[in-house]
Amino acid sequence: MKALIWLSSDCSSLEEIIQALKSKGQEAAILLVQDGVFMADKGCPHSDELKTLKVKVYASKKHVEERGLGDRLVVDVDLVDYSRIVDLMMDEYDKVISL
Amino acid sequence: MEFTERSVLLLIRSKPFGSIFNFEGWRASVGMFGMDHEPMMLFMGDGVLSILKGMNDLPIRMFKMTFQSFDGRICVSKKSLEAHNISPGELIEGVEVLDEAGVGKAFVENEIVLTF
Repeated sequence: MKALIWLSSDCSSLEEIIQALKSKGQEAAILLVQDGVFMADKGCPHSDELKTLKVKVYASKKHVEERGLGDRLVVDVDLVDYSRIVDLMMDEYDKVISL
Repeated sequence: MEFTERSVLLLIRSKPFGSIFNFEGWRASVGMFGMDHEPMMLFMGDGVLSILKGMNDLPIRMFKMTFQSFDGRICVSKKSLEAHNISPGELIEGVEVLDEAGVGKAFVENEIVLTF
C-alpha cells in the first residue's frame, strides 16, 4: 500500500505516522498544500524531518509561490499543479491520510 | 449508490478545549456506529491530552459512554504518550496502548482515515 500524507494546516511533526507506516513495510509520501507548505520552509522546527525521513515530498506550486517560499525550501520538493495533485491522490497512491 | 460497511480510523491529533476538532472527533466516532460503520479511535500527538483521567470530560461524556457501550476500540500511541510524559495509568479506563507497529497496522487495516 502506498500512502500519501496530505498536510494542509501547519508545520507539525509527521515522523511518528511515517515511521509507523514504514514499520509495516508501507511506502509513504508527503503532499504539502496551503499552510502545510511551511513544513518545507527552513524556518519550521520540524522541517529537518523531511531530510531524515527520506520520503518523497510534493508541494503545491501555487501555495509555495504565493507564500514566497520558493528559495527557502529545505529539501528537493516536487512542485505540482492542481491536476497533478488529483493524479497523485486518485491514481498514484492507494490511501490519502489528511492531517 | 450502494451502502457498504467501512472500517474507519478516527485519528485524533488536536488538543481538547482549544478548538472544537477534538470533541468533534468523538462525535464523529459515535456517528460512525450509527451508520453501521466500524470506527476505531487513535489518539496521537496532542490528542493524547484528551484521554487523561483528570480532564473535565463533560463536553464529550455522552459520546464517550456511547462509544464505549458499543465496545469501540480506543487506542493511543505509546510514542505520543512518552513525548507528553504521560503514563498509561493516568489515562481513562479501557485505552489500548499501541507501539509503532500497532499504529502502522491501524493505518494499513482501516480503509478510511479521518483526522481531527
